[in-house]
Amino acid sequence: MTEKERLLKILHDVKVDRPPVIAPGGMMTMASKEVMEMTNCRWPAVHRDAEKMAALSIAMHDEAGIENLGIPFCMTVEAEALGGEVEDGDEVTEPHIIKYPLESVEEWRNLKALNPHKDGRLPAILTCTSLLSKGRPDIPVIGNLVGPLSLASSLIDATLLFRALRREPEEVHRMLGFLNDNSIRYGQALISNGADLIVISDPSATGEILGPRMFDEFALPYLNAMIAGIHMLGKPVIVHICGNVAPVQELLKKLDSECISVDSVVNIKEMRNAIPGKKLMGNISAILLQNGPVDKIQTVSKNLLDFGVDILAPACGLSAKTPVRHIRAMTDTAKTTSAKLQA
Amino acid sequence: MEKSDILNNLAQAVIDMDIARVSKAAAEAISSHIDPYEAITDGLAKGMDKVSELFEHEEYFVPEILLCADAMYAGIEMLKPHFPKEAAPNKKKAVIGVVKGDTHDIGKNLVKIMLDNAGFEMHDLGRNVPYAKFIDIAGGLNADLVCLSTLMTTTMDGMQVIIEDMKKAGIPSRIMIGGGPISPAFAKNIGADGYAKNAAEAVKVAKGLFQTIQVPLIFKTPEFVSVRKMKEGCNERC
Repeated sequence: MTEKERLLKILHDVKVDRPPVIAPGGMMTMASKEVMEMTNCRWPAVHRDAEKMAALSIAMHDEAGIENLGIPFCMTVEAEALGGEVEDGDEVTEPHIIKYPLESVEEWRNLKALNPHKDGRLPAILTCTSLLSKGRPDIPVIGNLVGPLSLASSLIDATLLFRALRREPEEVHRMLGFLNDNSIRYGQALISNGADLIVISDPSATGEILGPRMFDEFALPYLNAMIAGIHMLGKPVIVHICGNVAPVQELLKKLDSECISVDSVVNIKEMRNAIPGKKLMGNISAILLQNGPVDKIQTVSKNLLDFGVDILAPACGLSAKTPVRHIRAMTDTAKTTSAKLQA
Repeated sequence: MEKSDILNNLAQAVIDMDIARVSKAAAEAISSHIDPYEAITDGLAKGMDKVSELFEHEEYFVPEILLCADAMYAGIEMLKPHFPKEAAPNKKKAVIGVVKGDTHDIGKNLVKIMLDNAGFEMHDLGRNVPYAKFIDIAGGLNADLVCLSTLMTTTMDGMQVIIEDMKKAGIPSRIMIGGGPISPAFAKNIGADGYAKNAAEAVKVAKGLFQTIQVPLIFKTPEFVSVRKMKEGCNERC
């Protein structure tokens, strides 16, 4: 069974030999400085270079045993293409927004509709997706989208956005609708260029920040619209929600994605029982992965597999300072332990 | 109107996120000659305490907290001009900013407001501040205190660079750090003089670093436990 077959099968609820171990990319970055040095594909140059981006992602698969390819290495490409100012960071710091294009929610009307083939780094991401898909057809290529509220909070100061949820809900709905249409178009372009599945990361939409009422009104419908846009092209979706999901656990059942990915604070065992119908991905602490020790990474990985996680993954992605042998401790555990579990 | 009614109105209007009612109650407090410190402590801040409680019980979330805080600040702004003028000859100078690589600044803003209220002369460098700027400004001002904030693990190490560079440059300012991923152990390791878990604690720690400052702590802010997750969101990495 190829890695691509395994991941897609599990997302389509077909029994497989063992859970895959992945790091999706996008907000849930999959790069390590050690591999950047090995390949001479280094941040920040990589972020604007489709070939280097592809080479680094492939090397993370080959060197660290991660069973997917996933780009970009940040969550700023959509916001940048919509007019946000991005600083590219350094060898271990991800690109991040330094200037928001909007000073009020109403100003969304000044935004230009996204052209995925023309705006910002989107063409480079599409080219890279295509390189990955053609170059390594057996490895699943993950296209990454920023969730609707998180994209909005990359375009306007989050505190202004959150105030507006209460002060001018109708305008926020109009803004989110506009952003969603654009993100869906970009997501569909990722698929046309070879993405096998889409991961939507929506860190700002955590229940801990919004509470259940606002999550239901402002996060859920747009996430589901995004998922529908991807499902239309026949590809599965994983949604990542940061933070403690307890306040919105019931609402997560209404999410239409095949799989939900959660933060390291979430107890997989409880989550498994609470949401039986969905695949679960997670959730090894990124700090544990960065700092080690190896035996603890192995134990935690093993525990998660025992608790019934369907896809093993670092919670919220890898820190670029994570040593390859720490990532190996996670990926090797998935590949050996779970084979034994099944037998 | 009774004084207790005015104070209750101030508190309730904060809880209800109602700036217009806060303003009205603050105007009444002023015209009734209520001590503005009392109006803040027993009115606005008391409302905010209740808001913290609602937040802890998951009845209020971040959007509500922001609007309650707006209402509280609107009231403070009205009351401020009526504070009795106190001589403050030895105001300690404090430089504050969010370390480069990070643009989260709610926590930093709260600490700034709290320290300002506690009698520090605040110099706010904003967010995503280059390392050298902390050193230049702290040196130039002869600052007594430098407050560094970050909410992201990726930028934590920058704090160490700043502290080392300050020492190299011979700048004697005390250094206090804080933010989501920071622990007291980390603060100690990188040579910071103080660590504060939240804005209220920042005042105590900062004052502890300069025992001579005896300005009373005016009000308590809620612990913004999850505000740190506001944007790039996650618990740790982001």
